[in-house]
Amino acid sequence: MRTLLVLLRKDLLVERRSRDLVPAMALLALLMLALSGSAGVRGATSSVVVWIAVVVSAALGLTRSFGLETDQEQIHGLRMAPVDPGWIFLGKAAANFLLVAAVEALALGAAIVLLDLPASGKLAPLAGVLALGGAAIVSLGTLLGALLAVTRLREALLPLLLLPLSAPAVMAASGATIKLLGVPAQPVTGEIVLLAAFLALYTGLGTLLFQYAVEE
Amino acid sequence: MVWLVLSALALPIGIVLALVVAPVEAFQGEPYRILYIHVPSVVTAYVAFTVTFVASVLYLWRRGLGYDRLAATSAEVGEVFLTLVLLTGPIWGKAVWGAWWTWDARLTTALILWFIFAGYLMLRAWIGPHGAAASAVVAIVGFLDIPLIHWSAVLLRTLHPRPAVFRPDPAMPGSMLAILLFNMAAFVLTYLALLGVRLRQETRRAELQAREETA
Repeated sequence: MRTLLVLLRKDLLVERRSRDLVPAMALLALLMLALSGSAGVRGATSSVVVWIAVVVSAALGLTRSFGLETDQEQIHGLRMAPVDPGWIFLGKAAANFLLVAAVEALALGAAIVLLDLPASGKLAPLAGVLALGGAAIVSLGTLLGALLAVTRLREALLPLLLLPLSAPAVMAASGATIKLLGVPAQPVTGEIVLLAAFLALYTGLGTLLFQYAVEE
Repeated sequence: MVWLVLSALALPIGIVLALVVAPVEAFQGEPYRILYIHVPSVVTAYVAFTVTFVASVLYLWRRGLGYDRLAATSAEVGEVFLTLVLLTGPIWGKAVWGAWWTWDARLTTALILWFIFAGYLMLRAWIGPHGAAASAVVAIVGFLDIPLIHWSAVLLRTLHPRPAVFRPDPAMPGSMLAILLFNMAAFVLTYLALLGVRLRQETRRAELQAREETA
């Protein structure tokens, strides 16, 4: 647990000093929303665009997140630290989640303003779906980011793997968002269970397989 | 070599059986015959990806490079068969449903699965010599993703027919079922033949590399 908090603090400190990730992710997400809006997307269905913007900008951010660990071989330090690699995974995932959550909040606000996303009075359940869906995507993305950290062309590979693999989470999350925004709102229990299962599976796999991901 | 000869014999026989011998289906007429390619392809693709999954688990556990090569080659051949599924499906769908494509659970799963293993093969091509463990993790993740994709697509509505064969009372006359099963066997045989060829090539390549490194 201490490992998790130390790593979380380190990653957030690095991000605060460098401002490498969130501005780039946020710009990309805003850009996708603006393009969709100018192409005519409006209303509740624009939540699909929000989710695609989230997963694509997460792919961008997660690539860099482990890029920061490999630029100067810091990953070897992490790997040799006398702590359970599972906690390292959870620490990286927690830090990545906070970055993605920041982008999600921004994307939601932009969608309400630019795309007439009918969110008034529904912000609390929407925030819940965004948090759960974001966590699901990040759990998988952190594992993939670690796997690809040492490869060439990871900038191209991570989206190619993260987008199809996170399809169930994106489908369930945008499905749930559309149902929540419906008048009247429909129950989203099935989607929530799916997202929770997705999150549990990839957090478990990540904790278990992280040691293989960062080996030479 | 034996597998190659056997599959080279079985495939044309299966096609003739499907086109000439099999009876016409009452509701769909002639277009249904694409079933004899579509269903064996999808069964073979799933067999191939299951082999990739098992070989990847074995690689992480036992560390034999042979498992790594088996995982890679089986995924290659599986992707070819899955491509066949995605090509024959829309042709059949246009004839019978009147639409090339629908976002039904099985179609969605097959398409996303195709993208996942396309990504996996791309990863293998780019990751270099030390990527066996990373590739194995991606294969495991990709395989475990299949039920999730299906589940998330089922949350929408489904048009694809329920499986007619793999259940206690196959919903198909014996004359059709026998030919379908023959074609499945022929396709799996072809998979084994192709797998054998690719596996031999990769093993030779690894031997050659090992020799160059020691020389």
